Amino acid sequence: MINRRNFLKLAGAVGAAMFLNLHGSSIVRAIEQAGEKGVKLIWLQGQSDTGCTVSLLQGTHPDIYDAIMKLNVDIRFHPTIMAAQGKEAMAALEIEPDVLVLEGSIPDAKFATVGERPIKDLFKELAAKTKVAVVAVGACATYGGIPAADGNVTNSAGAQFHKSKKGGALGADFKSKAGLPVVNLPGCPAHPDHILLTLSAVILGAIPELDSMGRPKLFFNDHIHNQCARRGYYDRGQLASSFHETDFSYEKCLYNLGCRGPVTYSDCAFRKWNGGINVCMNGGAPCIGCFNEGFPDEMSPLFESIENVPTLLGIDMGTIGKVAVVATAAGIATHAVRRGLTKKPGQKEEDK
Amino acid sequence: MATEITIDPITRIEGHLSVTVKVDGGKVIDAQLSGTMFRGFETILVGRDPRDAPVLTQRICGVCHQSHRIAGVRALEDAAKTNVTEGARKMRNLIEAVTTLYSHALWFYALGGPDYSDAVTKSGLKRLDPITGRGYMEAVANQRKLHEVLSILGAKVPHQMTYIHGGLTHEPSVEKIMQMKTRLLEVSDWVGNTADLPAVLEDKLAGKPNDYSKGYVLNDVVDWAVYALSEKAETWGVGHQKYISYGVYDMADGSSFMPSGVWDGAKVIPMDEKKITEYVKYSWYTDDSGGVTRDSPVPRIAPDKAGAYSWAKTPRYGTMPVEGGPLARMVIAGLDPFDLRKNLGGGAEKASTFNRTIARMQEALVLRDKIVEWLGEIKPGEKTYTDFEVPKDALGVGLWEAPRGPVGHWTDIKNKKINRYQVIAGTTWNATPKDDSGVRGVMEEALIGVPVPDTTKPVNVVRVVRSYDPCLACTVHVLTPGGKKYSVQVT
Repeated sequence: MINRRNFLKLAGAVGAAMFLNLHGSSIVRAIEQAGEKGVKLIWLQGQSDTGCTVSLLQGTHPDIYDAIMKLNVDIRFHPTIMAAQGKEAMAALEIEPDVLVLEGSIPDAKFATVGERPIKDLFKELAAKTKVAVVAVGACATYGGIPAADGNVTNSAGAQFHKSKKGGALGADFKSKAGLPVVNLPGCPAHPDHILLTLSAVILGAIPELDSMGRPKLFFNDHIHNQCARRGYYDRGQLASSFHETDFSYEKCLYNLGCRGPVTYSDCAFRKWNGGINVCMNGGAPCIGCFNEGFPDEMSPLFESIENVPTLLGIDMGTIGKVAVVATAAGIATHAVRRGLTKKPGQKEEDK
Repeated sequence: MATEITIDPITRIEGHLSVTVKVDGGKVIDAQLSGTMFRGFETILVGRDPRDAPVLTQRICGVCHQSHRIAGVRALEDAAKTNVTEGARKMRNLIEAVTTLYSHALWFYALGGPDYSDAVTKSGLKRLDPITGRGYMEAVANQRKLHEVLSILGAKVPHQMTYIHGGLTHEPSVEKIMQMKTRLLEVSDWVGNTADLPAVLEDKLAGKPNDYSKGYVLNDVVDWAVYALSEKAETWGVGHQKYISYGVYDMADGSSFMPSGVWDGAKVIPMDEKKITEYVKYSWYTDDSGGVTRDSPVPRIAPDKAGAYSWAKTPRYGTMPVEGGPLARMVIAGLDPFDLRKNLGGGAEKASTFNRTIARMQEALVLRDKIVEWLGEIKPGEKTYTDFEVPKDALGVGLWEAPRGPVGHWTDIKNKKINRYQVIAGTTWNATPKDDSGVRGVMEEALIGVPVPDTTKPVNVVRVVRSYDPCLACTVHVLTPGGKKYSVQVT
């Protein structure tokens, strides 16, 4: 069984020691309690593609076996991995979960059912009974994602948001029995480290500090652009003009090909994917802003640069979140033009 | 008297599926399938930049997370008449092959295999026990290595990012090739040397203990086969026994390594995309909503239509009900390594739960060997991108094979915007209602005659369903929403 020392090692390995600083002694208590009873977890899938579950399997620090077995998690329901099916599976939902995970967005009753019951009803009932935290995993569960994009005929939304607007399936005021709003882990898919570290922390009773979009600040406190390996090329005005020169060896920034790194919060450029092997921009692919609450509508058209995307440049200034994005986008746009013209090396982003 | 059994949800598949069977005399006499989740992708796509479609439709499925992106890109490149470079062709084949190998391994150990595990059915196959089985644990570790390879090729997975209109966003290098090779050889060792399979089988039949130095997957496949035969899995889950493949893996000479074609029950005939047709008599759409897919309109819903029982449409090759997936691909390619289906499954072209599973693992072995060969053909520094421009007005068709069946995208571009988009996914061919002539869907038909000696334990029903490796997120995305009915009952 895991003990405090093991968990410190686990958390330290991925820079999550901050959880411990915030909630050190309660973690120790929670570990002891979890060791005795096991933490009951339910994983529901709404309008999902199972991509976040597949992403979860790619976690390495910790991997899924560390997180589940050593933390003594009792997964009562997960459609993709559970042995049971049909009525037996549905009976597993008749509990008060400690942690409720949602993968996929929540539409009106008729568009997603399980066991002949609308998932919307099930999700709301289970959320009301959840003792510690409801965790929304992925672009769809957090902010609605593709099913909730324009043309959304199923009235789909995320757990507690639709795009950047609070509300969603559970409503703006929802709190778990422990008094927590929905913990949002966006991304398409969500990053396995984000999922496993947040779940580990929540299971151990350490609640990460959340920002205004319900995200743990630890993972979402800076723009992707600022941690990008190509950032230096941007600063020097070395911008790729076509996909002929997007391989890393050409030493170009992907800004003009549609990169959304400058307007999207996530630590993915630093953390990288699949055991730290690669990330979109390093592979020559411009960021599509899959962590952004406006994905996909406010990111489209994906292969046009930020300056050419009308919603990003402030046609709709209705929400605070968007104003922040617009301010950044406008700053970046003028910045990029200036860089392109002057090509002065060494200048910092702050001097805009 | 017939007993009706509804299993909802069917777990350990991708997505939301419900199945209802009628059992009489210990056998299934009727079956209906219903997908229970819908998103409306095509509606969301209308009016968008055509280049966004592969990125957005990729997210139809997070398990075969390359397949829709590839089909979408191929539709775009067909519309723009773009031919990609040799470098892109080779890298793309590798992406497809590694994806299929991962998907098949995950199916065997985590999705379908547990139905034959000791934990579920007292078979003695403890390695296939869900989550705690050694095989499951090894599969999680090895699929992760294959995802690392896909991440080197695709920048991140699931939902890789480098496969775009005109080619690939990066070029091969010595470093990347070596990083991939190391991992692929490790996975190859775990699988075992393909050529050793007959020896492993002979040892097993001779009652010798498992020799895992010959490969874990080889041993597990043989163990599974011996147990499945004891359950007579070669005699049930049969279905229509006609197959379709769109063809997959582009070769330098323009052919496909796994060719396209249709097995009409006696022979392979050429596959003509213009014959792909969808029927709607038993679906909640107006009768004029079906037709030849490349020309068919956006379907209009008819939720109160008499006799309809599904949101899924029914794709057919002309009027022929055809099965898609690894068995279909292997039959059409004329491949039956070590004559396993011929000698153990009652015929290389015969359909059954046994043959469907064995064909999947045969394909995995074929790919295990091809992947290393194809990796060796990739040259560092090869160019991977060709100029691409969205055409003003065009229809593009992208046909490809997902691990679980044929995936087709049709993009209708008007004034450089998406005017109409159609998707038929692999599972759509298999998990459909009856067609206009009353002929059952592929999986429905396969359920007929399945032995259910104990109606409280319909394990063979879920074994048949899972033998198709169904992906419901892929299937049900195509449905137009509306209507009141969301659960399906046998009438």
